[in-house]
Amino acid sequence: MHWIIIILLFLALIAALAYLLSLRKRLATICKDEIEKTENRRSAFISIISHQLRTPLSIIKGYLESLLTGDLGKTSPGQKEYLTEAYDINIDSIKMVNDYLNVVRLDSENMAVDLKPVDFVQLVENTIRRLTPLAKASNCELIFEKPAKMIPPVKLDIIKIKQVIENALTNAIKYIGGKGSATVHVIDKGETIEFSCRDTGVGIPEDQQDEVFTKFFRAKNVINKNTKGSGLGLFLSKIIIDAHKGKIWIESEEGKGTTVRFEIPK
Amino acid sequence: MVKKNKVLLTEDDLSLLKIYSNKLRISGFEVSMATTGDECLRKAQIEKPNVILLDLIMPGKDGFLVLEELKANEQTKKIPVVILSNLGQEADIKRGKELGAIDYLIKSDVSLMDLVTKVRKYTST
Repeated sequence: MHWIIIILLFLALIAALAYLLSLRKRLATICKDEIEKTENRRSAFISIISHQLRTPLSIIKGYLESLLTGDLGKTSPGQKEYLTEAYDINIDSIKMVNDYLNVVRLDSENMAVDLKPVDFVQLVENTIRRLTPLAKASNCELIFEKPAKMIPPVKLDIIKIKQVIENALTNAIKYIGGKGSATVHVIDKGETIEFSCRDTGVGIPEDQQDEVFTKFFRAKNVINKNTKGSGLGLFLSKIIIDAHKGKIWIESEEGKGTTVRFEIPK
Repeated sequence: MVKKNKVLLTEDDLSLLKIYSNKLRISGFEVSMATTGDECLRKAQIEKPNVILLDLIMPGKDGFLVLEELKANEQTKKIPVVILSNLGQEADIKRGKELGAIDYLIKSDVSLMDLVTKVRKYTST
């Protein structure tokens, strides 16, 4: 009799365990679906927000560009000066919106990188060429001291690394703030590749240099000046370089300039 | 007289429509305009433009759907389509290219001159 009770209890235990296991599986599926749904909603939200924020800025940019290029007739030097200022502010606003969206996006994407072989020197050269008009408008010079030897393709996420290079260069132009230069080097270090951008700008106070890669950091000596920035550029750069298993750092002396360096595996 | 290359500009925002069409005309292109996806599909078939500039967020059929239909139609599938949108997520860019767009430009990041350069590139090939 006892044996029958023990067997029945044993069977009941197995049934209960099987039920619990299936319940756990069902719950895991529900949770996974919910996480996926939340991520999709979040991604759609970012997508729409970016569209809605960028559209009015694109319209203003288009109107200002049409006026500045003379497509609608000549402007007086005074008008041109005002239009140029409005155009620069608009570009800063676009950059800020892009930075904010990138922060939200990177959070949601958990920073996946799509590594493909890229001609790194060419990438740096193209980015410098694209930013040269901006540098000229600020009266500063971008110099690329190309490596003497050819560098084989480097495996990287081209969109994201381009963003890091662009950020280093636009920061240099912004903080030179007039006559000066930014010199770019690319060094093949065997296992890794190093990029550096040395500027003759205002530099970062020594007591604040540890904070440059934190969210919303803006150095005290530039907040007081009329330079715009979201304080997210270097923060995003660090996330991107970390995702490439590389490192990024700065060397700076107030009043003399800053060098931004990053190194990523080849 | 040299025949001008024709651009079919699909854009539902009237300000951007004015800005882009003006710049393209000044730069020597003939510009046809569409403000909805259906109008773009109709004009693409009748007018056979050299290139289509396609917005993504539009009332009615969105740009992705329009692109899919353009590429599925024998008469329009060879027309190069450049997406010109303010949607800039990697997933959007990937989807646009997978559906057959030759290029993907983000309106807020591209200058009017860059746009003209791209259109010249795709109308000369």
